[in-house]
Amino acid sequence: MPTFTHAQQQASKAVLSGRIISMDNTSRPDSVLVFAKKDSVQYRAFSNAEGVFSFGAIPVGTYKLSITSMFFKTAPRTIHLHKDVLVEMPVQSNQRTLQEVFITASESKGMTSTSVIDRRAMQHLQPSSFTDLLELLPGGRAKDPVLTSMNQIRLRETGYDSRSYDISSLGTAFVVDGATINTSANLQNSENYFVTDPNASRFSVNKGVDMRSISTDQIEKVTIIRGIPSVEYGEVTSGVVNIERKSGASPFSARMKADGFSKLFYLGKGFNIGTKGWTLNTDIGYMKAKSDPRNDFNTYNRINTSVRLDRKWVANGRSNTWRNSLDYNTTIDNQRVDPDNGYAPVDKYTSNSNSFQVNTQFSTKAINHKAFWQGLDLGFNASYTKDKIDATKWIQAKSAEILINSMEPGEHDAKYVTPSYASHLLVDGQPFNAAFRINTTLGFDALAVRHEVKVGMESRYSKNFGKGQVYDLDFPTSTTISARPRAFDTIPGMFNQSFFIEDKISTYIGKSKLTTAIGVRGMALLGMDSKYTIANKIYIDPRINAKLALPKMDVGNKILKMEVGAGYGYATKMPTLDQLYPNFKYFDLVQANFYHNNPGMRKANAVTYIVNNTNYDLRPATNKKFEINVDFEIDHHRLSISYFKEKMNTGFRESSQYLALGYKQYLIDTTKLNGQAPVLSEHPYVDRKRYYTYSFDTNGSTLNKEGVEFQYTSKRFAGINTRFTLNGAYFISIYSNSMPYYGLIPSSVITNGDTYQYIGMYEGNNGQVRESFNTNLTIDSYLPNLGLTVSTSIQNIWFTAQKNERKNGVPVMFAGIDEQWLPYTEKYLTDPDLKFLTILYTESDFQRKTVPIDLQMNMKITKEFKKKASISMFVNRLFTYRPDYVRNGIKVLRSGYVTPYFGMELNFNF
Amino acid sequence: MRQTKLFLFIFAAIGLVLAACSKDELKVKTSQVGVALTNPAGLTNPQITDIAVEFKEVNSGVESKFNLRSAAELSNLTLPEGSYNVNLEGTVTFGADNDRQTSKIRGYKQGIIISGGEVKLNIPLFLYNVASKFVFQEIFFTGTVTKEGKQYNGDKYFVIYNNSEDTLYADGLVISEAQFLTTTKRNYIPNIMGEAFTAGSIVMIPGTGKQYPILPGKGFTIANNAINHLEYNSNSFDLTSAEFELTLVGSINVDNPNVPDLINLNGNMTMHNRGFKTYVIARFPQNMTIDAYKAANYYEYKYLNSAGDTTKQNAYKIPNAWIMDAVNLSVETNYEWILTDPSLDMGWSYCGKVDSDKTRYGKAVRRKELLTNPDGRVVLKDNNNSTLDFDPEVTAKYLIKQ
Repeated sequence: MPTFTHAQQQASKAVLSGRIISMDNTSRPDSVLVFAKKDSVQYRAFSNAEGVFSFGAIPVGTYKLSITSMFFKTAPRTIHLHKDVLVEMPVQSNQRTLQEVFITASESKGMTSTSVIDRRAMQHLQPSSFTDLLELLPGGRAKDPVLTSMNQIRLRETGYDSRSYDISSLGTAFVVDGATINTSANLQNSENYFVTDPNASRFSVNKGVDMRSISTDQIEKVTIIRGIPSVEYGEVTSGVVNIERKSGASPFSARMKADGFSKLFYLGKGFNIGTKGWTLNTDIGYMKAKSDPRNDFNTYNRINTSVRLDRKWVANGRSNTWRNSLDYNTTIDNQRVDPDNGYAPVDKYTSNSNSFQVNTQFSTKAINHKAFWQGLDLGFNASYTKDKIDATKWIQAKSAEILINSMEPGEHDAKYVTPSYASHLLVDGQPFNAAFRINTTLGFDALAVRHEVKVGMESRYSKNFGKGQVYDLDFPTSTTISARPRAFDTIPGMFNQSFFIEDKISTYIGKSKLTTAIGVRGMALLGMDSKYTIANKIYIDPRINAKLALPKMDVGNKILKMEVGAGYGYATKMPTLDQLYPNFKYFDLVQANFYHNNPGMRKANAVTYIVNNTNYDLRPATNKKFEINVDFEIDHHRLSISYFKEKMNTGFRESSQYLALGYKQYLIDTTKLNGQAPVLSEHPYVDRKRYYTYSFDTNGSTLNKEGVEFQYTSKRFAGINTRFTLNGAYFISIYSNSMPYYGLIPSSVITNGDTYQYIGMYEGNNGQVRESFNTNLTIDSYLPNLGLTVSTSIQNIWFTAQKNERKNGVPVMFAGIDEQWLPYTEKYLTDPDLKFLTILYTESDFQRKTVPIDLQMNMKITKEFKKKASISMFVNRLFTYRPDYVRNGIKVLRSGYVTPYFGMELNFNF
Repeated sequence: MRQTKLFLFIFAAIGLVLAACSKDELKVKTSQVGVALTNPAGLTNPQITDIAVEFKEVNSGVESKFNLRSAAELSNLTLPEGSYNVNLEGTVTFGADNDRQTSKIRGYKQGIIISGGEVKLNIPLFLYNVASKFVFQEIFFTGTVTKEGKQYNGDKYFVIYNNSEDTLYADGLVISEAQFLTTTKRNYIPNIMGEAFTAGSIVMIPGTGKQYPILPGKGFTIANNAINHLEYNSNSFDLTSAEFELTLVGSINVDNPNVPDLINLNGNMTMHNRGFKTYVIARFPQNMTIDAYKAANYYEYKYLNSAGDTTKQNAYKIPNAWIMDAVNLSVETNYEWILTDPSLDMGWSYCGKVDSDKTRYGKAVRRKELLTNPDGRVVLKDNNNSTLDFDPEVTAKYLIKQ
């Protein structure tokens, strides 16, 4: 055999091998079939448990590499083979086994109780906004979308619509692709400027994220941490909502939804760019909603657009992900005032919000799980929003009212209100947020214990550059206005610096694996005026979560997996800009309204007080969370139960403070006027005082949550392809106040010819205990041959209960207008005026009131056409059972015609 | 021929039978009603004469009137079945044989069911006398509306009239608005309506006792704000000529220095503008101070609401014996009950036919004129029944161009 030919033959072959790397770490890339195709020849190889595959020596040339797997997918790539080469192939998971199809939330296998909602569940739910997804959490229930009011999140509680407990939604962090939505600089407020604030239902200051502005169409997966989050998450008291948006090539997808009062459109696509792992995702969505099908005057419009440029690649033994996004979102609230309450052609209200967000996140992970340096995460995001409330109202003076517009304290003559005019208020808010975060993970073994230590820091900056509330002082938007124009840009920015360190320790106890994550997070507001107690002080959150995975047990011929976990930790939220720098309070007391028949002889005079109600002692709110959870899994059946107890007694609320303000009651002697308006300094007066109360931000709210959540998911039974999911929760939520409050004597009580001459100080224990117990049974059938997904959900609230903490209504102390505080003893209960300081309660105020069963049945159907199109329809409250009940002999009516809520949608993928 | 006669005979028979049948079906069922009267307490040997009794069927509106000479004739009346309200007027003579007094009496009962053949009922009577007193001549509570359709309410007022033949003094006169609503009937415990009126806001005319004389046949105006409202609302009017002005402490307290201000005892008299309240004129006993009144007339009450919860509240009351005149106001679509004992006022008047009726603005209720004396003094109708005594929905007097 000629050597030359042999050498040639040898040179024309090379070994093509490689390694499949799973980017999501969901499962091992074991037994993945890899194809290498050149012209008409195709070679095959299987990967081993480590993902390594090899075709052996094959002819040189250009090959197209692709994979086939039920669990993974990747774009095909071209390889030029002229010598031995090792190809790194990053792949994404492709969960498409029937057992893996969930249309409900599934409990994650993480360290603490967490719900995961994936794309398929979202599509079947047919949501209008993020709020609708909460139906899938334990304790959740289908509710009609309310898109003309702010939507707040309430995790693990019965709910209580009171501002005093907004810390629950303010303390729930929303993280989108690694960037937290920061609402600290939201100051959009038109309260106190109107008799009836047109913005009232959309008011979102100090309430956290307004969920109706988050569209679900761009979302790939939502992870909601209900338990104790890792110390990696800050500014949290309740839980964390982690949103991951679609990334990667995908066909054009279009969605159109219509229901009784809204329409939604969406279009998106993902592109592969080049061969180095770049992808481009673009999304655009539009939704238009009304509060009521018959009411065209109260509407909400939302536009979401997003462009995301991502890269996933493998280099130097590390897998890297780099995500960049640019978003532009607009929401418009529009309301024309009811003609009966306003002057329809003139009165109007709009609230616009235009926001730009830019986000870049880089993450690198070592492929070798035994490497010391495991990875690095780096991210920067910034957002700028232009908020504008534009309200016009026709004002009619009800009589000869005095114009209140002094910006200075003290006595002053005043003008009379113009009898009728169109008033206008502009609230210009421009919140700007920027955040930077970095963390690194190290892994090492010590003795028999594996450590994964994560260290990181995060900086956040918030400031509002807006002009604030702007209106013409001579034409105020209310004749009894108690506020003044205020510029937001005079408020200093907030700089929140935090750091954390967490060690995830894994060890084996016998055959059981014990994983403990113990960490500490420190946070501080830097650069604040030292007048504030909170300035530059470091607050520490320790958190610990442990999970014991028991060894697999054989039960019959199935394997039972069981896990037990527990966690305890502190979760702290800093106050917002509005709570640290509130708007001053203005009090205007009329001293004279001398309305002579002759206009030239009239005189109006008032005294203005300006009060700075900043609470320099305001501290952050801290929630202490405890939970135990248990998870069983056998033959694809799964049961998860968690018991939790959370206590917070530093929640933010507005508490009352009092003032006795003096004014002069002029006794004008009409004989001394000589045809001129009176010069007040020449007339006698009586010194009078009245009590006023005002609110200021404190840490007075107590919010204790306790309860049990459970979810049982059966396997998808073969043949009928149906899965049963039963989930539910029993919540006890205690809402209470620890601050004393000041109450004025009712205005009807007239003492010495004047009102508000007495004030009482009452104990603040106006607590409430609320309970609810609900279960949801979802039966869903997934029939891929027919392309049909049908689900029926029977959602039942077994009961809700409410009990007020007992109060006797008697004040602890009281004061007359001389400001001498005295204990309120029994003798005052019969004093003609002071008895009105006692608030009258009856036994029924303290009874435990229960509302019985409220059952509803919902149905959803989705039909797919060759994976290219699908049509869905849903009906909520197809059937309801809400019987009347009797309380104290009175029949409370509840049954009766309940209208179902239904809608339809079309989806295209082409 | 025989067949024709047979047919005619059959037709006639059928006709007779049918005629007899229908006659039976048209007959209205009646009942025998026996009315007994309970005389007012404390009268010796009372004799009731000249009785005019009126039964009004609530559903059909049909009225059955009887004029009888004595109470005995009331024991056997025949009335169609139905649900009735009864109104009775008469004259009573009482007292010792040598000193007989005559007075008018009244009786009233609501919601009587007459059916089943025989019914017995009992109507309590009360003395009614046209004594020296002030009455409400006009109550303007709706306010006016601007040309842009916005409410304006500084121009509300009361006109009070001296309906007697003597000069009376307005000093110390008390005007009060009810605490409850004529559109929400509740079972208040205790229910004191038989003895006293539950007051919301209370105001009093100042004076030493003889400062403000009002001649017989003359009235005076108490305005919310006695100013020229045309400066603020071209659809309103000038109230600078009002004799008195309210002191709206805690509200818009405009002071016209030329007009005396009323004293506030309790609350803020802003006058319910949809007309769901009752107004009374009263006078406290001689030498009773405001503080003494408050100390003696405070009470607490409770009621069960529609959710099954008990609510407890407090208020002042004005004993019925001190009340000179009372006017109940409501609207047809929401009316549930009157807020006074029937002896004070058994009916009600209105501006507007429905709740928040847009046509009610600028309208008032005005007491009818009964007769004009030869000397020119007008006497107003006062039968303690605002349904009959008042003209509803009249144009407020200040709006009528002279």
